Amino acid sequence: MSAPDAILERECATLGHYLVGVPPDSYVRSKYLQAHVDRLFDSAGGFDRLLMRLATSGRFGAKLADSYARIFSPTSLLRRKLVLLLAILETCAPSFHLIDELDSRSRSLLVLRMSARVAGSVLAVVAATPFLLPAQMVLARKNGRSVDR
Amino acid sequence: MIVVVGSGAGGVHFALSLLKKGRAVTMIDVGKAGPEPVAPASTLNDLKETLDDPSSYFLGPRNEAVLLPGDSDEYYGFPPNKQHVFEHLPGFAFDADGFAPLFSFARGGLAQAWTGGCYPLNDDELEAFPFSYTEIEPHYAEVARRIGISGSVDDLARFMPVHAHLLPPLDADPHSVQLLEKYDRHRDWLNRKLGCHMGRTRVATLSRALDARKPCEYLGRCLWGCPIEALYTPSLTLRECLTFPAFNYVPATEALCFRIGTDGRVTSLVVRSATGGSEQEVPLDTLVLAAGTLASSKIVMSSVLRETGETIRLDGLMDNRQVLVPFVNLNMIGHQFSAETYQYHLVGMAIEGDHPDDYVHGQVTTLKTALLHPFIQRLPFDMRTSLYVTRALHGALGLVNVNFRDRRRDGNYVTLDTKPASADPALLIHYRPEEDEAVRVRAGVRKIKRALLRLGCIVPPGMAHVRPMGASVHYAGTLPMTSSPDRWTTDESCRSRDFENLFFVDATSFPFLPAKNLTFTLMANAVRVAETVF
Repeated sequence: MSAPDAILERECATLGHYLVGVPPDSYVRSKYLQAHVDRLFDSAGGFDRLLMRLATSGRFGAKLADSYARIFSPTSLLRRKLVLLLAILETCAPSFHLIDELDSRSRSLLVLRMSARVAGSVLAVVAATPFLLPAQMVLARKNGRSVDR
Repeated sequence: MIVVVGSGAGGVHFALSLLKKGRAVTMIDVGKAGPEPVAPASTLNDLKETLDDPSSYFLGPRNEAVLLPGDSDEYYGFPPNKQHVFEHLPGFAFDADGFAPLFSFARGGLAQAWTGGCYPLNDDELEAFPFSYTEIEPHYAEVARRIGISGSVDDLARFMPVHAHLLPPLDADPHSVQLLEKYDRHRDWLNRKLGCHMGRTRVATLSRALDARKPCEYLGRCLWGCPIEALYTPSLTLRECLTFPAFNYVPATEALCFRIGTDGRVTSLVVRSATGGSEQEVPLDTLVLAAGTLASSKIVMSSVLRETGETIRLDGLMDNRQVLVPFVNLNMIGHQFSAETYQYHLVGMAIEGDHPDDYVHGQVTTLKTALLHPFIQRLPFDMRTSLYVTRALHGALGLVNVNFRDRRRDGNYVTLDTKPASADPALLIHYRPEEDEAVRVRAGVRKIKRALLRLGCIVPPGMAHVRPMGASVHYAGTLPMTSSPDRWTTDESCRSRDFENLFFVDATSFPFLPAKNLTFTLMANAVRVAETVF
């Protein structure tokens, strides 16, 4: 396996685990790699690379980077890779079960859990913004681009 | 010789009617074919479990069906096995201003990717047409007999006349059942306060066997193409035409224009191979254009340009504005959706306006097996949270596809780009919405949202999506049926007033575009022309 492939494998493993709670299997990893061979993604700018490094540092880093990107950089490389990975996961076994099946049939429990997760998402944005927003502005100025909203 | 251009919904039903009368028909068609169904007996989840490469089946070998952030605002893309329906023809050039056109050169045309809605027009909607419902009803009935349409006689019948050969409705999924039960309880308020009426949609999907076609088996694969042909597509009627010895099907052939004789009649059709090459002429007695409004218009304009040097402009292009309104049914939170249900719309909403022209048409799809990534990425949270929220709400998710009518207006036109001069000039399309369209659309969507709220459904703020004009692919009106004998119009038989042996059996000749999906009326009109003229 080449060095870039190894990086993409680790990326897929970390992001997949972040999304569905389990590492993706070899089929998902191969589809993820293939998408990069097919040039689905443009080359990354400075802030994109920063977001990817943070996201692939672990699930906590992925949460911070993704929460921030959703608000301040929704079409960033990280978001695009996450969506691609989600599309692959929802179309194959066994991961589609993790996406389709409810963890509870209790409406109140579901609402409670959703509320907790939404609150966590908001907190993650608040935590990430003080260091990611200045970084984004600096790197955007270097690249001659404005903040992506 | 009768030559038909195009194998779409109008062309195949026109051809079949003539063939049944013992007439000979030649059909010129580009006719791109799609792939054969994979594992036709398998359910959707079976495919995910058992295919060697399921992701390629659902997303395409190069992930063509994945909607990445920034690429599109749509809630769904076209599945890979329907990509051929919209695959472009090299050399067919166009430019559009205010319009996002889709073209089809597929065998069976655009309706190979339709969702099967079949709604007859009532007399109010037919006011601009040269026939009443009574006159077209036998042809609606004939099409229904041929293709199989399932539905109910319910509150929507006041807007959609009940024709013969209506099959019983399909089994409804629990979410659709819940919506209709809620409507029953709030019917009076919804009818009186909002002019909102609900019922079962009428769909060209079999609930019972019809000839050799099996009824729906609830495999959950509708969005990727029905593998057992329970959902009708025009290619099925083309297949039936091919059983007639008098039917000459000429695929892989593009119709460019026609030649005009000194007597002003069409003498031949100029064609070339769809892969390029030299032009050939097909002599004919009667030419019937069924290539879709934009392509049929281009053929006419190209013919006039070549034969006379005149660049004509055809005004009156119409399309339905569509708005997608996603919702969460609070009563369905906690319900596990089932993939083994019918996936397209089963519930319809009709919103009355002050004038019949202001009727708004809604089709409600409860989202089950649609790909989730286009929706999830639009929620305002990180992906993991958005995924959890979507999973929790999946059984409660739905989408109303809201259609608004259009009228013919000067200034919405098609013409040819003759600068620079070219043997095959590009099609130019120009469209602007009516001045009051934004107001009408806002009012209509507001009523839809209020109706949904009454049914216990909320629409997340900011998620209603106004689709670009052209997205509904209900193009019509550039050579309309009129009572006045003006240039570039047709008579009540869809016969061109400029060329007496030229007919149109697509929506080119529609003088008005109601809010309802037009395909059923397009097919019935094609049968009407075949039965009354030939």
